Amino acid sequence: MRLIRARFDGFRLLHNLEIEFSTDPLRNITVIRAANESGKTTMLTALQWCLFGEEALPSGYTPQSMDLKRGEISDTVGDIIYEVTSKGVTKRFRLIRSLTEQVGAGVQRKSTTQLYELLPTGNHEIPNVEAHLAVHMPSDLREVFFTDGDQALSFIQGARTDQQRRVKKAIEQLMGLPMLEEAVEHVKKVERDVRAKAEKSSNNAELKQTQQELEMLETAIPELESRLKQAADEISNLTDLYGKADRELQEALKRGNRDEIAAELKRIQRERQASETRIRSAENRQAGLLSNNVFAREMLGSKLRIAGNLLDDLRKKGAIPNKTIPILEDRLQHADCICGESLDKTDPDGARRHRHIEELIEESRGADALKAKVSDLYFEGRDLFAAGQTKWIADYTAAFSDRNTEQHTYDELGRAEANLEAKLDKVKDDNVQQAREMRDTYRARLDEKIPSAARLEQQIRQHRERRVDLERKFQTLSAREDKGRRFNCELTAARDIRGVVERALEIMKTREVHSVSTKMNEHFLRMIGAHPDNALIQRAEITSEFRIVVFGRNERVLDPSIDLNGASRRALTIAFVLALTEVSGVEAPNVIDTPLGMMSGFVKTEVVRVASEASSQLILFLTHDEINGCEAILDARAGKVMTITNPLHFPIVLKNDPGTTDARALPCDCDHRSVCQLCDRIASASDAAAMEEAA
Amino acid sequence: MSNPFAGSDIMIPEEYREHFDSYVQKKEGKAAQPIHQPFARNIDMWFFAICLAVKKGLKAESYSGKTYKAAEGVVLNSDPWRPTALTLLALGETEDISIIDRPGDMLRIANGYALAGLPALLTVLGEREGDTALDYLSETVEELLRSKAA
Repeated sequence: MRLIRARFDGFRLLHNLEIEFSTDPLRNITVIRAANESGKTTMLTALQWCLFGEEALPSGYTPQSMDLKRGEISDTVGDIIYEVTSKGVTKRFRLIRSLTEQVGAGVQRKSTTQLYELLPTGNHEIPNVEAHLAVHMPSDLREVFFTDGDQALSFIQGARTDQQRRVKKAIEQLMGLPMLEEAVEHVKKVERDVRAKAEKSSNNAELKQTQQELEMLETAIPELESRLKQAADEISNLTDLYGKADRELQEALKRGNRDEIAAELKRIQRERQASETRIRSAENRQAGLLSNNVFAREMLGSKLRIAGNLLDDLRKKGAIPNKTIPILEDRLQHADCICGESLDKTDPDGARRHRHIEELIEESRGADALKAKVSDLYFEGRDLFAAGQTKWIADYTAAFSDRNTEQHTYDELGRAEANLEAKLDKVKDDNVQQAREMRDTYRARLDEKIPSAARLEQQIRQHRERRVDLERKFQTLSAREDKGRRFNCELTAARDIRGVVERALEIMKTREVHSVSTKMNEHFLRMIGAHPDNALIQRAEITSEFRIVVFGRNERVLDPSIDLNGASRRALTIAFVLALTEVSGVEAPNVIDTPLGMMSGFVKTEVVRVASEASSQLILFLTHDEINGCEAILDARAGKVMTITNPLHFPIVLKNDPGTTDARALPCDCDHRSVCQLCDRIASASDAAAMEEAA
Repeated sequence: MSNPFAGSDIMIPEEYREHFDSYVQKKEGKAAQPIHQPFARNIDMWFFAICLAVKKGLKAESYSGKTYKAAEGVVLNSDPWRPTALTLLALGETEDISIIDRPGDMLRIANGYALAGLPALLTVLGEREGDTALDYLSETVEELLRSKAA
């Protein structure tokens, strides 16, 4: 399907509004430029309503015009001209959908449709419109071909099972897989019917019982499969929740356990107190240097040396006796002198020496009191006046250095204390505990669920094995019967058909998922400009569980919703949508509302380029900000561009008075680069920045 | 050597009382900090003033004004080298050995230097600006010892 033209009347903001779509394969982009709140999303909804009916409207949505009052009649008309090519023949159609209802009426009325084939000879009305429409544009494909940037993100964001379900649904619907699934069910029913006929025609009790058991298994197996699927979904969700809780716990642990931080803080505070004590002690030590004997010796040096010289002179003159009395008295207690000679009184020489020492002692004791004082002063003052190395500066330097070192330690500890206090403030009382409890809860539920799923799997396996046995038995038993033979043949045929259809379904699922995955990867890597040799993102893939994952370097699996930036996330979902539509082989327009949000520069341009190349017809609803930066690619690829303006934006956003205050979008022919009296806007901060950049 | 000054008192001009209170760690009152009160006792500040005066080559001064008792001579017992140092100072000053028998004269000489040194000490302390008393005094002493070989 290719859209040629659309016109809307009375659909919310859209009144008397006509859009021409580009059908040029080389310039296949149609751009509808509009600021926020100017009718872009309304137009996306209106297109879907016209093509698919009320089912395409969000729940509770009414297309009534905003300006109509309660009780007034609302007439809504959508008129689309499109063409469809089938087997090389292109036919053009006109679809008109209309709805008349009273504003405020509780019951929503159903729209009516008319479909015409446009022939050179005139319009030919086609009956049974919905059936034709389902062929031209199957409603299953609506959400894939008509999407918006935010909505598409649901393929990679939200609960994992929801993501998987959406991806799976999109792939299956696009590939027509539900039809095959229906076929499988149909063949199964045929099998059951044949068995029932066989049973009826037979009196064989064993055959009857076998058939009953088979019936029971046929009912039980899908039930069990459904329960298993539910359990698998729950396990998948719990695994997600467990992973998230574990990540939160790790984060909380990184921030730190409150008790541990508090204990560490106490330790640091104790150390800091001890350091403070050491600083006081170092200060005291330094202060002590200002009043110790080394200080006195070096400061009073000049006077002390004079005194010392005087005392030395007196000593030389013998005025100061040697301090020998205690030594001499000590020697007399021993049998020998310090010179080694004997002091033994029994020996004549020893006795002589002994007497001499006693005389020396007497002589010393005879010195007068002054001499004693001088003598004391000389001996006790020698440390003060005797020449020696200066030492105070070295002592001071060492004390000062020790003090500084300790001060540094004290300051460091202070900083550590402040950091810990700040950390403690940030950590909630129960962060770690809560995170741990959450994780353990999910773990416990997983531990409960996994064996339960395993039991279900085993049950299903046993039931299937039993079914195979029973089918064989049924075949054998029924073969014994004349009539049974015929039914057996039918049954064999039905079973064979079922096998073929089931295998086809399986192959399609696997093969098509792989094809979509490969295409999506190609588009995505092009869009983000990832080079295989050095890019952080190496590839994207759809897993067999229908999950979109991204691989980084070293095959590291990245979660797109966490590990990708906003632009890459959007690029990935658009790549997926494009891949789906391409692999499906269905020719239909890709209509995307605000696809370029959060993008800039290279990625923005490449998304437009890739989307244009991958689509047969690309219709983009873009804001001015989205257009900013990709004008060049639009110059090259956009075949039709129009602008719509909300007159109610005057005077805040619009420069000129549009002359109406009706709630309706006003179109103009301005393209992505031009402005007119109607759509000219007051430059916003971002516009100004863009203009500056362009300049 | 016994302390010849044990029976004497250390008398300081009244005008310095306030300064002694500022730079000496008191046992009562606010907690003393050595960086702001670098002297443990009055006797330490008095002795520092003597050392400073001698090192700077100042002349001993006399004073006849009002004084107060800053310390008792017996305090010198706690550092036995101090009575010896004061005796040697008196001997070095007078070059008369008999001075050691006249504690009053020796204390007068010491006090004369203290009177000369105290204004110098207070000038140093007054110039310290943001520095602590302990650090500025220590640096001054270091400078003195480096510049004038003892």
